[in-house]
Amino acid sequence: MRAVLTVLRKELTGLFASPIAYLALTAMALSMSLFFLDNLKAFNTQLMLLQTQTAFDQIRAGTIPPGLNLFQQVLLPTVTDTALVLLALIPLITMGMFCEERARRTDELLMTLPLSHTQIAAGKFLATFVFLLAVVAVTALMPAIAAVHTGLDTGPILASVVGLLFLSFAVASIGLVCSALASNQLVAALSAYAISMAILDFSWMMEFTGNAVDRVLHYLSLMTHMAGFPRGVIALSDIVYFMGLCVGAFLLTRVSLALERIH
Amino acid sequence: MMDGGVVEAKGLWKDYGPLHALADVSFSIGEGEVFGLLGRNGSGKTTLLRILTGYRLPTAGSVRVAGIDLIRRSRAVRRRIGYMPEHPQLYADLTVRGLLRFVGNVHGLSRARRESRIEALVTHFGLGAVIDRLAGHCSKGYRARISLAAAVIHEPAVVFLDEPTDGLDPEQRHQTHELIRQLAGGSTVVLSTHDLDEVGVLCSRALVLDRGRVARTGAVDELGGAAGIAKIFRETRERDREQET
Repeated sequence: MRAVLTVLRKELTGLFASPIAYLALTAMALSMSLFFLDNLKAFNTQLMLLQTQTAFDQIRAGTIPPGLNLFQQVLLPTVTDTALVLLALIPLITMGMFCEERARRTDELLMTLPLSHTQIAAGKFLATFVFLLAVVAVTALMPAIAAVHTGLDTGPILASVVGLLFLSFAVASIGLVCSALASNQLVAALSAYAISMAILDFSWMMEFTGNAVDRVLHYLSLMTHMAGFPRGVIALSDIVYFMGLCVGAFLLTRVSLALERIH
Repeated sequence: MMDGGVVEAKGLWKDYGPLHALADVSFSIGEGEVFGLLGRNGSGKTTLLRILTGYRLPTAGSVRVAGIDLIRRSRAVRRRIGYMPEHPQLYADLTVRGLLRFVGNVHGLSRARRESRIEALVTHFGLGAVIDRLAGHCSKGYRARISLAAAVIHEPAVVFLDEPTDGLDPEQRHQTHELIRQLAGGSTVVLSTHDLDEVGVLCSRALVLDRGRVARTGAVDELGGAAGIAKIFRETRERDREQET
């Protein structure tokens, strides 16, 4: 365990020393704020429009039209938008984790130290996850402020943050295995994008497949397993799906490191 | 004291597709020796060192380092060795102190032991001026010394050095030679180089590789010193030229 923590600490130092880390955090904070404010503006505009229509009477009577609330019109779309930004951002964070070691030839130092492939991979995976905690924490800022000032239910907000974390871990795991397998950082990032986008939502493929395949594709889609979190539902099956992706990618990374010694 | 050598290689092969980078290489290195690995560029020196340090696996053959089977128990061997790669590349985002701490921690040194070793190495290798600088941004000479310090922080039984003076100026070369001599007191040193003078000055025995095969091995004096080894190189070069024509 000590060896894993040592690798984790080194990787975190590297992550926080790189401009990509600060770019990622800034991009996340900016995009999250923009999405949140944009959705809030749209919500306000809709409220203003309703005031001039018949629904105004309904609102005055206390019967707000279904779906017209901060949660559905601001929080839900913001979580979806944030998930997409994370999908675009994470491959940039993970692309160098293994590729850069090879490109700078520091892998020779790392691989000749008494570290097992599991320890190296675990250290790098955990460091990326810790860094993503910071990135996702930034995304939680605006909804947290909204919750404090509007009395929004904190359950769905917390569940959304948990969902975004699991999604980030899964996408990062894909990015890390791509970095371990690819010959350079660009290939690693592009492969991670391609895989993440492909499994993001398989619904487009369902038009060409049968019912049984539909069910499988539906289960494999990232978005299927993200859907429950913003509604405040943390389902075990969704957690198993995301953890399964992480463990699968971790094992592949480990195998890739072992194969590297044979080359 | 071990029954055989501290490093024992038997029938080592390394293939890259149809190319034999190493072909049936066998040798033994005794405890406390400074052993030279020689050969022209592309002769297989770096490949051999990469196998001996557990960085790469051989296609066939066996290696024992400090009495441990390298292929079966690679990590146990890596605990007992230190390695300075050719043109050492160090982490650009770690300071020299951070790098030495990282290597010390991986080797399982206690905090007190690690700090006392770092202090001793900083004095010994003259790293005081750069200790808090980013390791990857130091000059070539310093990088060589930092890499050497990292390789010996845990006081390994065997130290592998891959062309440690390549690209250094004469003064830095002289300093590195001194450091290697001092290392030889406590560890077995395997030195890969194509600098024949270096072998004459530092090594007791040497192995000459030629296109992945052992061309000659023995005491440096038996090989005729630097001049004798230069003759072997000339012969192999002329043979290659003849084969090309």
